[in-house]
Amino acid sequence: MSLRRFASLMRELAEAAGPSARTRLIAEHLGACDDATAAWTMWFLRGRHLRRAVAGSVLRRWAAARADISEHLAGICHDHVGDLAETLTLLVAATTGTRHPRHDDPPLAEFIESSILPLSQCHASERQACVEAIWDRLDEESLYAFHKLLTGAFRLGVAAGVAERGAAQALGVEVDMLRERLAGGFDPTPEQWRRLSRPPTPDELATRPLPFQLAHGLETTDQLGPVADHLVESKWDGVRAQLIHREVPVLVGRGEGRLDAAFPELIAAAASLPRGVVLDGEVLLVDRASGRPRPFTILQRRLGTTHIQTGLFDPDDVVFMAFDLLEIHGEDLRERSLEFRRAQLQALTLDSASEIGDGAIRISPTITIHSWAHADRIRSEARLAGVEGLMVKRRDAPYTGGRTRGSWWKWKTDPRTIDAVLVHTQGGHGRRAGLLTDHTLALWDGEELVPVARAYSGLTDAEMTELDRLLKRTVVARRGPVRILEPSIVLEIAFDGVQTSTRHRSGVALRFPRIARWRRDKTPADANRLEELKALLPDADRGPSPPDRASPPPSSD
Amino acid sequence: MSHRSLIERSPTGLWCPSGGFHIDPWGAVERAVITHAHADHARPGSKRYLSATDGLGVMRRRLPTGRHEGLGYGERRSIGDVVVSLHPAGHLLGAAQIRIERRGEVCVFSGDYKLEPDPTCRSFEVVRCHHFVSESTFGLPVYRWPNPDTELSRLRSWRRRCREEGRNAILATYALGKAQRVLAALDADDAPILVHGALRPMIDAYREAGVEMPEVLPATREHAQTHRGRALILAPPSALAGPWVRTFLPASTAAASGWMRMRGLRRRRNVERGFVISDHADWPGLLGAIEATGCERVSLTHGFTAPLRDHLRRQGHDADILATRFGDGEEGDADLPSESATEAPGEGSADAASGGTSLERRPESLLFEQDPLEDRSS
Repeated sequence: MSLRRFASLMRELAEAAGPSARTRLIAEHLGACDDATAAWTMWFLRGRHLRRAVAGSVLRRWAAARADISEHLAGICHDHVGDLAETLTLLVAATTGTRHPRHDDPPLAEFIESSILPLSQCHASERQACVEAIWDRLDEESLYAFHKLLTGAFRLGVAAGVAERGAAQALGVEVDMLRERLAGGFDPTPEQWRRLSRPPTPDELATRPLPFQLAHGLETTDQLGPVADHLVESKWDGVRAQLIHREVPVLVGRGEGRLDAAFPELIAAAASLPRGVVLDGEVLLVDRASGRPRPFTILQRRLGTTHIQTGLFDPDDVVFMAFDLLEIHGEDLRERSLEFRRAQLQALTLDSASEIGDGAIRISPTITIHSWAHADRIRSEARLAGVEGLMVKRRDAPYTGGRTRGSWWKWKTDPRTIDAVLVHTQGGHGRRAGLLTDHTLALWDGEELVPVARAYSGLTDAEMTELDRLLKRTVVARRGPVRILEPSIVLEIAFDGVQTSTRHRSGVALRFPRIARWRRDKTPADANRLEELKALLPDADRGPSPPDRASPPPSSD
Repeated sequence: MSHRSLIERSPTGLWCPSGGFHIDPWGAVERAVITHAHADHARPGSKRYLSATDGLGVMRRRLPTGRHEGLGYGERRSIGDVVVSLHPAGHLLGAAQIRIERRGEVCVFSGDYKLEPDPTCRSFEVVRCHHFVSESTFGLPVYRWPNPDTELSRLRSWRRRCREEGRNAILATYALGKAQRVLAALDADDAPILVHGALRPMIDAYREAGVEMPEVLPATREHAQTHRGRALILAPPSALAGPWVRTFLPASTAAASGWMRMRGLRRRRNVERGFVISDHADWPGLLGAIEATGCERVSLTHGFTAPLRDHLRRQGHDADILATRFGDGEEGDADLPSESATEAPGEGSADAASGGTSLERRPESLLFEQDPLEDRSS
């Protein structure tokens, strides 16, 4: 598949009506190209992107020079288009169209490996010439693909399941097997692409995770059926992962891949598990003093870390909260009922000398409920326990990877809301391009409005357009792309949690802030105060940050 | 050079003091010279209207009250102390640039214009002048039109593919200008063609003026039944957003407009396909036209006025902004001083420019234009 063909795949995927059409497109494309190109395409389909070789602002400057316009005008174009790759394409295409009527159409893999990747190696002074040379030889559609790849902002926007089904069709393998192989990691090489259709190696067999079963949001328990058919437990706010001990201990996150280096404590603990075990669960940081989980953002600092110093004074324990057992003695339990798997999981505690129970590996306790109303009461108190809500699972259901609906439900606590004042805004991207939709919201702290959250989603298209129009009139200054507003609009913000933060001037950070509604009935004076938000902080999180967690000094922002 | 401008701004619209007439006035006036029949340029309430003879039928349908008079392209007419003539603008049937001459000094008001050939109207004519007043709807360098014939053939192949898949092809077009231009590019192979009621009067007006277009049927429930899954249906963009469209399912939707050049705008419009067919000049078109007039001074109205002005100044032109209510009804913010203390040149008005957004601010009075992304054409 050539670059141009790849570019049209991007377009066709965007235009295709529905997942089955996209699956077909992917299967056709992957089936028709060489292994190297298929590997890269698959890599992109999985949502990966290349590292940005040249800064966006630099590319914009080069494009402006080439189009013979001022950088300022290129900036206005970027604001209007809302997408850097597209802006570059439109500016550059104008300059090549007539100069080079016959365009080059290199194979995708060759283009990436010999034109794009070397850009990060070559000397900065040569980079512009290299990019200009590429600009000279591509037509508009290929330019767009090139810029998307180059700016690292590349997304084919295909659901994982669609990409996997398409690839499975192209390779003639079972989609489940393919998914397991991809879950173990995939690099864009022809070898890896070929390996997807080969029998797995013993090594792979030993370390591969099984496709994770996902839960769906639960609005009401009306449709669920008898309470007795369900198992209820806490919904932990951590990193979903499988702790695997077949040959050697391995920790694999659902979205993160191997996490062995980030959580060496768990690898050490897993070594004492009997061989042939695969646990499904959630990685948490637990405050040793209170026994309660720490906020997700603190846990997050560990991800991507390779050298952990587990200090003696670390006030937290790393815990793998196991809630399912997928393999035992090498036997696959996924077809068995949850009831059965849970029993085996409990038994593992009893007949092994492992740390299961109170150490680094624990079992997520089941919660006894008498009725759905009872469960709802427990859910409403979940926040106090530092969890996100409840999980409700059918006791008789097998473990199914991918998105099979109806056996696992997540029942989150109701979001909290505050009324905040819109103080800054900037233009959105994608379908919100050119509209002021990326809002910064503030609460009163004394006489001052202090930003507490940024939120984009939640309004209808019509509201977005209307708000954009109003905001344009209240702009008092610009700082880069950001418009500073005369406070006039109050939005109700919903969020799932609040935690202290040294990164924000307000001293707090909201989890999943989103716009609940536009409070047309309120003026900025009616908005909430920062103290009211801080009152929602969990007790354990109200004190200063632990001393060993070095944080940047508060920014004056 | 001149003591008094040939065109000035008055509360009711652009005004030619030496001629005693208004140009495309937004208020009610005694005497109006009109460039074309789109609702932001041709407003009701004035007593006498003068416009190009080619478009009189369209103009009378749009403004049934008021006294209409036609002037042939190139014909000279003395009004007050000036000589007025109308010249093809290529925008739509009867669209004209207004040339005003006073003692050898010439000012041309472009109205809306495009440079590509369009079988439904006379092609844009370059008129040499001292002062050129140009629109700037698409005054950003990202707007460059593909060949319209290529876009029209893409449109036709989309239509054929829909028919093969058993889906209607619903195309959003503006009621005046775009719909007729698209129709004129179709032929018997594209039948059956159904049109929304809002498009009907202007299609009739074009036919009466001698523009050839294939036969169309009204988009009624009956015709939808008879031609289910096979029809090409033309409708104003607002209809696609409402319940009207349900009668014609299964269908694929598309829009024909210059804004379709932008992926983001295309997605926001919620159509499956976008065809870049515009009745306005693109960036090179604007620059080319301004250059070709040989003007000493250029004034910019409606659209991306500030970016275009800054670019023209950078190229050594004497360029300024003439604030009007055309297009988006914006006043004031398009004309902020550019060298204010805190902002880079042009920054002050960048807000007006930086977005499909500013295009969405427009008065309700633009009758046919409920769709925020419209070419503002109808």
